[in-house]
Amino acid sequence: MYSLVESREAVNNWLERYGVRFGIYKNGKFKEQLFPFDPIPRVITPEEWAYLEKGLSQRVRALNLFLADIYGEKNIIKNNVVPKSFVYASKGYLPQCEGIRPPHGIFAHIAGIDLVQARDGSWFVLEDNLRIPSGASYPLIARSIARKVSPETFTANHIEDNRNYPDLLKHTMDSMNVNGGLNVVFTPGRYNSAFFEHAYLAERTGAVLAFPGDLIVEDNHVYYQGIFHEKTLVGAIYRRVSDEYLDPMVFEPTSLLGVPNLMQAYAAGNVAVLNSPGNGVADDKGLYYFVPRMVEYYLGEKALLQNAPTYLPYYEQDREYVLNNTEKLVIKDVSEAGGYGVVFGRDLERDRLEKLQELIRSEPRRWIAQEVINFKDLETMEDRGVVYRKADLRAFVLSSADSTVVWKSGLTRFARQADSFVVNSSQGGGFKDTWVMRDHQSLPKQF
Amino acid sequence: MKQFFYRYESDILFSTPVSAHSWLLRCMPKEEPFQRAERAFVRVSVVREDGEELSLPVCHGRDAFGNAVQWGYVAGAHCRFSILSEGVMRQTPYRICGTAHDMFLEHTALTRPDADMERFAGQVPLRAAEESCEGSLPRGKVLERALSLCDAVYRHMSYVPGATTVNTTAGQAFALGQGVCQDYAHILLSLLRCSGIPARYACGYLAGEGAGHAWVEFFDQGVWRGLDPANNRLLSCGCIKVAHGRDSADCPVNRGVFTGRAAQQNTLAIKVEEV
Repeated sequence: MYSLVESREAVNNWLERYGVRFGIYKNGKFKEQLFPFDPIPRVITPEEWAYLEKGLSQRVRALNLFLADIYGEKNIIKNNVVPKSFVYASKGYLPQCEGIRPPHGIFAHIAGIDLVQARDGSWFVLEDNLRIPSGASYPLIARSIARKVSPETFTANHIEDNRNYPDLLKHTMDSMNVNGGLNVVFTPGRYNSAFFEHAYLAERTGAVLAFPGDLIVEDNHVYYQGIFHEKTLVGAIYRRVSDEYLDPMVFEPTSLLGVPNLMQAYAAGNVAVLNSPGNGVADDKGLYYFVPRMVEYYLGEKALLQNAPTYLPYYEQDREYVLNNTEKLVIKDVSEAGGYGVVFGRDLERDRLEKLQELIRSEPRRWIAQEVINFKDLETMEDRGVVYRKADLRAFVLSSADSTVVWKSGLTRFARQADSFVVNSSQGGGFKDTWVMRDHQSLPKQF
Repeated sequence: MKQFFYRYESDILFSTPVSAHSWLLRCMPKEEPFQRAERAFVRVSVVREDGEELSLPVCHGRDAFGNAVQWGYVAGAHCRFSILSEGVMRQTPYRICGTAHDMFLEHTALTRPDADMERFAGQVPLRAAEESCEGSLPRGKVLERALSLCDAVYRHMSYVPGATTVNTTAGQAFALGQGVCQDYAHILLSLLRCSGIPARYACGYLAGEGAGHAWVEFFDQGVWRGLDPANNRLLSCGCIKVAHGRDSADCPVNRGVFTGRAAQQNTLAIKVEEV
């Protein structure tokens, strides 16, 4: 373990050589930066993991049933469990997907669920990511580098091997593949912030990495034509292009990233699209409030994982509370993602606080408010020694025709600055490996 | 029961040849209780560089709104793209029994009202329904409200082709006080939704006109009715409905993506005749 911690620089150098980068757009300019790796892992005990695994799988199964319901019969709205205006005013709800049933009825194939752990050890879900969550590739490649740099760490500690992620992903793609054609990872291109991940996952799953222009729809089937213009039938598309750019014939007409008429082939069942278009309605920050109710409604079980205490200004009672307690809450704009549109009431000057309250009064549907969870700091290695930093955990849940599987690892992101709660990589955070332990014998003590 | 012959003909001439052309059309009548196709077909063809005309295979299906869509792909270079859609429809008076999806109460980017429009909607007085429709229609608050709003839009606007574009929003056209049928429809949709009446954009071909037309459908007691704000009237017969959606962006007649830097010249001819 010590040898791994001492190899911090070596691992980061290897990550740099492999091109493990994260792109960010700042002031309209594209900049790539390294994604700093911290060698001290997040360690999860077998009991804790068993609980998380059950809760995550339950949550994602409910979210999949919700999506099938919303684009199908809408029973949850008819039964007044979720208010209809939250669904239909959500940016993520796409009428163009009404009535489409994807292969095996699965909508969220690759889900990234963000959790935090409070000081008392309890876990809270902060948000669900069901569109194009990124991040699995980072702990995946970091683990294989760490194993080379410090093999003894991995013989001394009984850690669940996380290098099966490509197998899980391939299994998901294969089980969705409708015709035995190619599996492709469809990337918007090298200027996407997660391009490294697209290329790496394509390589590791044996899928073809397809760029805009590589895929065409002819006779209502999707073909990959690459640079030699030889057409090969495509059976499953793990797309990393967002919904609005996916098909210029149906969504944003000026999109050059999309595949024209992909939605027609998809609606006809001639290709699988992972994740399904329209999933944004289920990971909407406003609908998040209702996820525990979805679990009860669809599965008839109590939700094992709890949400962070959340208030919807849409409800009058909650609005009163939020307006009276703005300075101790975190306020989120439901239409933003990636750490943007997140405001801590306590950081605001008087006039900005009042402005925000005015906005909450005039557009209540646009906001959610959450109690600030005092989450557990994790040990993090800096040049001068160990410091404590806020961290979250993105767990990956893969749903295929026959199973819902939680990857025994995850992306632990930490804030670079002391006292910062914002861990998003787009905001400059770093990452850690996540160790799920097989037993207690080898739990590492202190680092 | 009346019968109408319709023909939609459109050509796109490209200044230089284009290739890898994907297209998606909404040019065949939508299946509705008040209109049934006696016969209907669509033919899509291109003219290649060597002058040879090539008929293209057409995929048929429906979009999420139930509109008939036709689509396809042509790889080779061509300098002309032609659509012919033709048929005979049997029609009864415009009336669609059904349900209203709640999305038709939500504003869209094109129909979102500004403060002026909201004020305008609040000031429109109710008026008696019989002024602009046959006496056989049931009278109700929704119908009266819809007719009043339609009348108010008609009075507020002047029909001026070229004053707006396909991307003009309801708010912009309302402020301008000018526009074409699409703008009238967006403004009326906005006002109806402000009043809590489910409303959707509809388009198609109108008897006696040489171009496509757009209007509004609103939902009242289990029935969708057609309301034409550009002509300030309830629709009955003689209008071939092609598509509906939340706004015009949901029902473009022709969308295409191709490779090539070509200027486009469009010609369009629409004919609707009672037979």
